[in-house]
Amino acid sequence: MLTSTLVATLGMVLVCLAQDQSLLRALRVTTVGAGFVITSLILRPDGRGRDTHLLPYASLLCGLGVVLLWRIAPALASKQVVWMVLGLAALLATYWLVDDVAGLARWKYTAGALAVALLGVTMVLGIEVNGARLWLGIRDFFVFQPGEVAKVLMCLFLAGYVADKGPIIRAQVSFRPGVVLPGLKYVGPLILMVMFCLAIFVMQRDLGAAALFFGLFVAVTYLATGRKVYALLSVILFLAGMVAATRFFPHVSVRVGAWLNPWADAQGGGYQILQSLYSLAAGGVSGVGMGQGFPELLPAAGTDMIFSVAAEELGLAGTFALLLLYVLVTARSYSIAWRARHPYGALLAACLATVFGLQTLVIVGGCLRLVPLTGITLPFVSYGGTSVVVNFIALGLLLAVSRDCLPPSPDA
Amino acid sequence: MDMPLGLILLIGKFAFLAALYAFLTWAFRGLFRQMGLEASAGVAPVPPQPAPRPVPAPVAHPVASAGAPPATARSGAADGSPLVSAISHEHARPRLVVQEPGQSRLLAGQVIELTAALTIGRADDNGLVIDDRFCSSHHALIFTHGGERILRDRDSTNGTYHNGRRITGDVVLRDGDRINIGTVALDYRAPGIE
Repeated sequence: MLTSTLVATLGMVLVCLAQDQSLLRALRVTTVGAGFVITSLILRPDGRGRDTHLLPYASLLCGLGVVLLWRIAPALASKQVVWMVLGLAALLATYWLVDDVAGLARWKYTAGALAVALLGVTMVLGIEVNGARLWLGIRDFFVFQPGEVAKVLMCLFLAGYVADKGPIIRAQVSFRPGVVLPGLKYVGPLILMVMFCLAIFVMQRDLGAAALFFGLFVAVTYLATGRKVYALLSVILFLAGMVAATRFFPHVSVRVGAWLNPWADAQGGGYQILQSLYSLAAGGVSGVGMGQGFPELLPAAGTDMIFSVAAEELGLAGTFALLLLYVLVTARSYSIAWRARHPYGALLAACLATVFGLQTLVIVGGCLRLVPLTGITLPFVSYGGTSVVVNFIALGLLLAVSRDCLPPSPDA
Repeated sequence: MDMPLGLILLIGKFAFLAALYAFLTWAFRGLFRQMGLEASAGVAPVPPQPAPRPVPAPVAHPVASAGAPPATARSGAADGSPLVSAISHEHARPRLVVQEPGQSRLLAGQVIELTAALTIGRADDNGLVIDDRFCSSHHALIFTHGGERILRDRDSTNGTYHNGRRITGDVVLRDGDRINIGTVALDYRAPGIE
């Protein structure tokens, strides 16, 4: 079931492609498909409660990603295929190395410190591209985006910390009826850590990642305490922060201005978002068809705006399917969290699920002009080496957690 | 040549969308089936840890609540409430009732009879051993002084809470008082004792 669907879908992708490009080139898509089939075959004889759905979902997302990238720039697609194969290797490595998920909890402070260190180093030594200093490495040779790595490290830290201190935070919140804030002693380090990351992101002008981290923090606080008050408080805080950021950071106010009124500077700040809207409009209900759109007109089409490219070529029907796929990935991941035997595993899965879901929301919302456009990737679809590999590692972690879950039922 | 290609592309477009939705149908069916299984199985074998622990229904303790009003009202209610007075005949001695076992191995509803002086902590030499990670080895003490039960914290790391407030000195216990140690919640019961 798993493999057949996978191959069938990728086969379809291939057929669609063959119509405007040469057939031989389409074989690259099958490389990714073959990688997934091999991976799932390797993982198959496991016999434990491992999730069998996440991998096919990811394979379809990746397949779509490669196809879309190919439309935009064949060179990028080839690179992306290499990254995906590497990512699959990373997934397998993660899955095998993490033999005992609960044991990962020991590394929580290491993970947290690493995340902060990576972000800090990037701020000082990073390479600037388009005014944002998000990359680390040697220009034109090997660069990577520490923010992406920090995302997973942060999940490891938050899950570990909350699994450790959660019970006392929860107990203290529940038995002190009037008191909203639990002891600073327990929440202090958490807040400090997140504030630090947020500060770095804001200084790096990586607003999408900042929003992502903030959302993750809110989710974790809610998971730790079970109190909706925190979610509400955080949303208010976030809105206040947004307003303040718009006022004090010129970079932010440009973005927000382009979001609120793109026509004011249609050839400058508003250009990207307007082109995105034109793409959406051109797509209509069923799209203009694979390979028949004009993604060349979109700035950053392969990374940030890939959703708009999909919208133009696949239309509302296609993007709806794409969004449903992300719903599936997120729901599956939360389901793993629900079934996990160990609180750490549950929290880790929930954190990763939140990251996947939020990231999709932030970037898709950006493309649709529902929220200000920020530069983050659409998981598994966008071009980006670090992003792809890190997403696969996250997937590997989710699978590792699901391995220790109770199987849903013998026949499922 | 133009027409067939256009037709093929059109068919391909819809075939691709159809394939996408076929995949989604399969995926959602799997998801719903699993959710149905989880729902029909009632509670998951291990309760989801991130979710807050549900407050156990205080079946036998209708007047038990945190942040209780002053003791005068409380002791008067002991006579008025049939359930509480029924219990008070069974157990005349003051005692602790475990409300929330938290992370310890205590059981909800478990009754601990109070002796003249009861030490509470994680170490084995305590009168009441609470094996909770957030409980200090010698956490607290409940002793009798002048006919009253006094709760005292023994410099514990995470503190002892009396009706939601962290105690610093000695506190006189009244019937229905809530004591929190680590993740454990205990109620003090001394119906009809003045």
